[in-house]
Amino acid sequence: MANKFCVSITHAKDNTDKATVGFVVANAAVGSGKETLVFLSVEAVRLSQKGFADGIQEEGFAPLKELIENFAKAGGTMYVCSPCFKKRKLDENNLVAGASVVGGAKLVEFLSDGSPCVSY
Amino acid sequence: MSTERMADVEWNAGDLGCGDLVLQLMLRMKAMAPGQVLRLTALDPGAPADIPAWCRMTGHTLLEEHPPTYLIRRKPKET
Repeated sequence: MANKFCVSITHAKDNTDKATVGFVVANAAVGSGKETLVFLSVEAVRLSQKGFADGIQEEGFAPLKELIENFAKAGGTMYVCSPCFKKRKLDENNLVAGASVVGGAKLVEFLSDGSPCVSY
Repeated sequence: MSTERMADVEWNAGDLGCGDLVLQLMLRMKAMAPGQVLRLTALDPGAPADIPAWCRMTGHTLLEEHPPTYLIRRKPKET
């Protein structure tokens, strides 16, 4: 059984349902002892910014901000797609805990030894 | 019936489910000493499938399962 798990999220306020469920599944993975990566790309890179997730809460789910914070506190890592980040002119000095801006090679490296990946 | 067995720690997770449930479960297990037993109450409809899977992945021992109650023994050593 692979000891790594990746969740790829491509949505933020354009689909808060997908963004939320992505982090719920990521928390299930990190809570199950997996080395867990959330890859934020396309619109989801906005979730890497402090304050952006404030006020987002899907019915029946914890607030998105809390899900992201719990993920980082449990040891989860977030990779933020560099070109998506730059395209949106986001602030590298305003990243949430656990997030870092990376290029595609870092994602490829993480997945290359057989990590499963689920996408939202 | 056999969930009457002694537990060192009790946790009523209420309606917590999916990632919220197992993340909190992991943190509570980490706070316990190796070999201690947790009596968990989890009402989420996914819990009867998730709790045994979580135990298989993490190495903790599911001593008993009588949904919504589960007895879990913490593994000897955290890895």
